Amino acid sequence: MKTKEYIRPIPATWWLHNRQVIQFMLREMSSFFVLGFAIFLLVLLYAANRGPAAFRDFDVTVLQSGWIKAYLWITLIFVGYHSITSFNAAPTIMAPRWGEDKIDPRVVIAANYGLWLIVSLVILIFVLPS
Amino acid sequence: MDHEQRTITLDVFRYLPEQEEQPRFQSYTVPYREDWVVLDALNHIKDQMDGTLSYRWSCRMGVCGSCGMMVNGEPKLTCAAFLKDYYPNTIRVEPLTNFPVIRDLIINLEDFLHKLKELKTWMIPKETKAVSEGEYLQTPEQLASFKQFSMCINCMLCYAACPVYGIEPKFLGPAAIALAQRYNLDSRDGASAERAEMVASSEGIWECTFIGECSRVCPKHVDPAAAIQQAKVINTMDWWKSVLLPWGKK
Amino acid sequence: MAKSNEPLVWAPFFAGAGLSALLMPVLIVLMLAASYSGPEAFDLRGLLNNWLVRLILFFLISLSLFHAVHRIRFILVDLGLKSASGLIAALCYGFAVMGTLLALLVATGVWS
Repeated sequence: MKTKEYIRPIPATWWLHNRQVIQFMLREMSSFFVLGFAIFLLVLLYAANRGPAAFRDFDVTVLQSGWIKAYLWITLIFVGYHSITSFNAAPTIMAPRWGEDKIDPRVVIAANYGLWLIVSLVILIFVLPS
Repeated sequence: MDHEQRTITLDVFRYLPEQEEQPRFQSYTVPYREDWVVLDALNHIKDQMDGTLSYRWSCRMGVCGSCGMMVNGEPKLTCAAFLKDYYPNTIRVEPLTNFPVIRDLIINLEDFLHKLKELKTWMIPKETKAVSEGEYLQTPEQLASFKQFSMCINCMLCYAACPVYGIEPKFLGPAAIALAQRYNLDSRDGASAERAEMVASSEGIWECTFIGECSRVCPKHVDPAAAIQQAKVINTMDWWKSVLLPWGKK
Repeated sequence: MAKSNEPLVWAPFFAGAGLSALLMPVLIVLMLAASYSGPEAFDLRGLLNNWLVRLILFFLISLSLFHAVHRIRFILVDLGLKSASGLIAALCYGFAVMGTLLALLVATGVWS
């Protein structure tokens, strides 16, 4: 005789269940800020197309505004979180091995951070003299 | 030696479908021993206090995968959950999440078994050899490429932990995909392309959003999340190769 | 169950992850520097008119868009909008395609 099975549906608040899934949701929320900054860069390029006077205007009224400063600080935090979580995920996705030995994931993560530092420094060196 | 026996309370999920429509919790106060695990407490309840309690267990040493249950909301092997890590608080014991409950702490795991079959999680040799030709040889490097994924004991804690499986029961799930990868990556196996129909389907790896709970709760450190993400990379490269170089060999 | 065509969007998602993780933080810091120091401090417009900068920014914008919309699509599905998953996917990737076209027009100076 088959008895009735009890089904437990998953609640809509599943992502609040424990610390790790909350962190997962925060990690995914950081993608909104990646989107936002991509659009910001698009707008920036558009402004640069419009001639020096218009750009200067844009620079002073928009770029220097308090709103933009606040937006950039928040974006920096969330995009930074996106970077950190992406680098930390790298060993899982790549599964690097040296022959039969697994390469320590910390080495892979350190290599990612190293690359990040180098790329950032190269960009800063390229930009700052101008 | 205890002069006064310390105790600990377990709130256990009960579901007796022949007698009651709805499940309920039942409280049991059992002796507290430093070296006891939750499974010992359950066995004490069944032997000494309430013979009607039903649950699965076998090896009691973390290799059979039978005793998986939710302990205070976390999927755990009850033979590996020590009472001393919870004492003196009450321990809540429930059946594994995301599975239908047959009775008490026993879940219906047909779905998982069905998926293992669908993914052909067994050796399909690249070349068949007669016994007289000797063994299939493998270097330590070849073994290392899949060994971690072979440690799965089919305990299904990863399915209980996976929110995606909870939201979409058609998802093939962490263990089944990790086991499929175990064979795909095995140098002796030749059925990668055959398994790809299922692995690379929308209910396979592409349902996964890399939450990572599966790998966190896995008692054998299989890291099914890694198996799935690696499969995504491999299948993406295969897909783009077949699109950009359709004349290449399959 | 047939093989999914998800790899079509997963490749730009994956590339966008790496590119945005590596490049965006330092660019945000540069923007903050520009915001605080004003137009006299350094020639932001001149920098943005450099062809190499535009090339890199085009790829960064496009791939970051594909990366972000892919994750947003799955967030919405994970949060319960599974029934509308086809529509959500179309809207998300459509947005990224549009953004890529705009980025192309702006980066090449066609749109100003």
